[in-house]
Amino acid sequence: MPEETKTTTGRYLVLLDDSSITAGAREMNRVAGINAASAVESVSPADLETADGVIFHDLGIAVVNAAPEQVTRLARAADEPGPITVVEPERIVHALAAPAAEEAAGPTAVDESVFTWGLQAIGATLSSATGAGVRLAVLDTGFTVDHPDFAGRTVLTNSFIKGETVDDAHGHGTHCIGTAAGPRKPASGGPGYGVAHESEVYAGKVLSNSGYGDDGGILNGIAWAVANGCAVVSMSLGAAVRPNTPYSQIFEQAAQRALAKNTLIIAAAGNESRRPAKVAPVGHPANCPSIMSVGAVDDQRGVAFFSCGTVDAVGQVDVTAPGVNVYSSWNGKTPDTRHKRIQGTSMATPHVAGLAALLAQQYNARGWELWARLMQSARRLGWSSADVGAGLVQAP
Amino acid sequence: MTGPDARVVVSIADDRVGTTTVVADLRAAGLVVDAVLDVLGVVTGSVAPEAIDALRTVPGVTGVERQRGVGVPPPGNPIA
Repeated sequence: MPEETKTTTGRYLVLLDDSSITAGAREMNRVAGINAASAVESVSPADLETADGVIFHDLGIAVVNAAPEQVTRLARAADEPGPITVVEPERIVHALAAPAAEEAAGPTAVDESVFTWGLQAIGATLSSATGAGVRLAVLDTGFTVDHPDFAGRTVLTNSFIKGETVDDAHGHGTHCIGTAAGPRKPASGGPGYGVAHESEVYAGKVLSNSGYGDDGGILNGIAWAVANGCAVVSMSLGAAVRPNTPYSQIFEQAAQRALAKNTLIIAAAGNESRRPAKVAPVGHPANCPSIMSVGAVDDQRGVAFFSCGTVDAVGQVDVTAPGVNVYSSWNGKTPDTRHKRIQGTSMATPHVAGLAALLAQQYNARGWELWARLMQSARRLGWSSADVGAGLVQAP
Repeated sequence: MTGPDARVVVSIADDRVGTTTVVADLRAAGLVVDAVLDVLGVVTGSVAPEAIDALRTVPGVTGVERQRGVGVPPPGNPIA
């Protein structure tokens, strides 16, 4: 399909290896004769018109004016090892900050004295559903089994990482489980932060303590969750892909089979966007059509700057959830390290997974019906469906 | 010519899932099996890179893909 000129600016984005931006600048000059100026903060449109290009050092991205022949040379350099990693047409994107007029319609200051802003934004605090009787799997870096906030809860664990117990030496998994299924009144104090606070948790370790895993471990974890009758699988993990990379046929088939066995897989869209300059495509495996892909919004319902978007006909954002300044459990052993605030589509994903558990309990819904309930009840936002899908998920 | 073994995932046709012949044929074609996930119709394992095409010709196999690495940033990274 030919690119519509309307969606691109005619300029190109060059992603540079972040270990050496300077080397990247030299390489652009060597292969394509482009002299890009350094930008510290922002650049005026006039600067962009006149210069060969501008390098955003913090982002490791250059925006360049390049003739077709120069683009070819840059693309060739990107295909080879070296400091130029990706070259793509610059897209036209709109500003995503929430307009001030909209804020006047709702509360502007977020009161988190009782519940996190995320629980409030998805209506979980007003729902009578708790996730009781619903099994929810979180496939991640494991779980802090002795976390005081989970005392008395049913948490089944399994490690699919050779040589590592399920204990979460990373912290990411404990944070995601906290959002999906943590308490409303934490034993260790602070605001309630868990969506499906009475669900049965299946904590599968498919990422090592350093945060890495592979397809085989993930599929192992999914199979374990399906075999145990989990209605929902939350996967705050992924690998970045280039635009138009085909989705994995194998993960798609696995997801369809899981749905046929009443298990819905929900995965993070990815954090590779740098809005408004760059929107990156939904990563693997969230780009599979039968895996629900989750983008992130902030407490003003604006799209998070890092949230991946729909940029090709392969992957798309299905729904969004709170993913900025998200407070949840952490793997520390002291009062001030048992919780942490972090951001990412990783944090948005367990909000949706927890909500799916509430819907599963409320309507006894599973599989595709659960998918439909999530999409149907999502609150439409004022942004393009390419960025937020059906909108902000809402509790029953 | 022979490189290090490639880690792969193999999907099995619906009507062949749970039958032992496909897994046996995959082994005969060079696959060192890590896990047989009948519930998903998936077999994981490793194989010499030049034998990947042979796996694709095993009756009942619908797809073979090299495993991708996935991950999350280390703790302390601004975006998780």
